[in-house]
This record gives sequence, structure tokens and C-alpha cells, in this order.
Amino acid sequence: MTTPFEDLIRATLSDLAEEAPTVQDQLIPAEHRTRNRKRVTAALSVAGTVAAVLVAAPLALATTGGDAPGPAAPRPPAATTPAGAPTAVPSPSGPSAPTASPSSQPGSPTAVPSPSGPSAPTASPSSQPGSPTAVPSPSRPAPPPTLPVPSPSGPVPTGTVVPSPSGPAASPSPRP
Amino acid sequence: MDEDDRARLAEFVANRTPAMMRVAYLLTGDRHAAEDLFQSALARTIPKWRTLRHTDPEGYLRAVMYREQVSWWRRLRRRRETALTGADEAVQPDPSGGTDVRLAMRAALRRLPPAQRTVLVLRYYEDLTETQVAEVLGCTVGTVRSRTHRAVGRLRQLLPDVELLEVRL
Repeated sequence: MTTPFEDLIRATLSDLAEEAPTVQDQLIPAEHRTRNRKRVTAALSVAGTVAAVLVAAPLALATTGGDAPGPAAPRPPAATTPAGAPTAVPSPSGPSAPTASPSSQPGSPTAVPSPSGPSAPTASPSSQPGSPTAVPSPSRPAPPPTLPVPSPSGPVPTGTVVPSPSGPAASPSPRP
Repeated sequence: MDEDDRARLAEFVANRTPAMMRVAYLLTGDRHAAEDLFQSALARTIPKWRTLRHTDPEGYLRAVMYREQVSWWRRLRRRRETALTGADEAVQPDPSGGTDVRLAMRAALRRLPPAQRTVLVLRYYEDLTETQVAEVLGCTVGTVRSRTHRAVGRLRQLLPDVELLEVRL
């Protein structure tokens, strides 16, 4: 079913079609266009490829060379530290308790306190009774010795250990 | 392309050019634009002539013309053109009976967008169904329906006195 308006559209289109121009020999210009299209397509393809190479080549070089570190050098044989030379590394600050290792030479125990802070000094009992050494923290005055701690190795406790007011109690290090 | 293929192509173009130019003229509404559209479609068909010659070259050529007309690239080129004939001329009563209506309709058809005009040509000049139009244009049937509806509505909007004019038809 068609409306009068659609009939009007059909009639107008038919009139327009009758007025269409008559042209001759459209094949030759169409062939010219075909050749031009091929030429333009080929030129654009080459230009695109060249542009892609020009953009991608520096990026590829930048990612693969230059800043990347070289191959790792072979590791030299590890230097062995003597087992009898322990090292004590004091913490410059903080509440951690320093550890004192017993010296390889008996009779000269050292306790390295923290230079600052409420760290607890640790005193190692000497293997030789009678010459213990306790170094108090330099930042605080040493309180008077109140509690004698007997040395586990010596029968007569002559040395005194100054406990830290806030730190843990000093513990004797085991004898080697 | 050998001589035999070229001879067949020349024969096809010579035989079908008038009909194809009519369609191109309906699609574009302008003589030069119609020639340009037909040559563009033919230039796209020639490289495929070897495979098309045994099937349906005219159908392929028509489909290329329809799609070329509604293509985005062609629309860009078309924007640079300036229409010299306006559609704003008032419709004057004409005692010749219907001529004024058809002239007004022709002017209104020129003002339609290419996609809507293409759908109208396929539906009302080629007498294709909505499904066939959708196949030719490569879109859905719903798109064809909506474009047809908009095109007819736009024509009614451009021809506000059409009800009065239809009485005299």
C-alpha cells in the first residue's frame, strides 16, 4: 500500500531519471582513475613503511643498547674472615642492646656501649677473676653499685656490674 | 587484463552506462557529481573485473556506487561544493497540473543527506525491499527503516503544503 506522498516521490524520481545526462566512453577516464589509485596506494604504502622504520629504529636502539649494564663480571673468591676475630658493630642510636663478644684474648673483655640513648651496657665477666671491666654509658652518670653479681667463673666476686636503669639486666656472656 | 577481458568490459560499460548514469544522477542530483560517482565506482570495479565478469558485474557496480555515495570520505569532499540551486524557493501554483509539486519535490530531494536520498532511490526507484536495501548497503533492516522514515519526514517538513498539493494531484 502506497500513500500519495510515496507516489509523488516515485514520480519525481522517475522524472529525474529521465533527465539524466548521457555520457560517452566512461571507460578510459575510469581506467585512468584505476591507475592513479594504484599509484597512490603504492606511494602511501612505501611512505608508511619508511615512517614506521624511522620511528621504530631509534626506539629499538634505545631499549636494547646504551644504558643497559654490561654482563656481570665473575665474582672473586670470597675473603674468609678468621673465626676468632668477631666484630661487634654498635648501633649509633636506638634502644637496641649492644652485644659484646668475648675476645680471643682472655682477660680483656670489652663491652662497647651505645654512645647515646638508654641502652643497657653489657659486661662480660673476665676469665681472670679480679679484673672485670664495666664501662658505663657516657651519657648518664653511673649509679652507685648496689647489687653485686657473682662471677660464674670466680669464687670471689670482686667486680661489679652497673645495671641500666631502663634496660635489661646485664647478663654474663658464656665463656668460650 | 587481456584483450578479451577488456573487450567484454568495454561492451559492458557501453551497454550499461545510461542506466547506471540515471541511478548516479538520482543519487547525486547533479550532472558532474553523477559522472564523478560513476567513474569512481567503475574505477573500483575494473581491478576486480576478472573475477566479476562471470558473476554479476552490474550488481557489484551498483553496490559500489551506493556505498561510495554514503561513504565518509566522499562526504568530506562534498562539503567543499556549493549548491547553486536552492530549495527555498516558494512553490507557486501552476496550472499545468502537478509540475509545481514535482519541482518542489525535486528541490526537496536535493536537500536530503546522501544516506537518506540513497535509501529513497533504492526503495522508490529501484523498488527494492527493505531487506534487499539492507543487503546492498551493508546495514541492518532497522537502519533502512529508520533512514526511510527520517527521509520521508524530512520531505514532509520541507514541503509543508504537500497536503494541499496532493489534493490537486
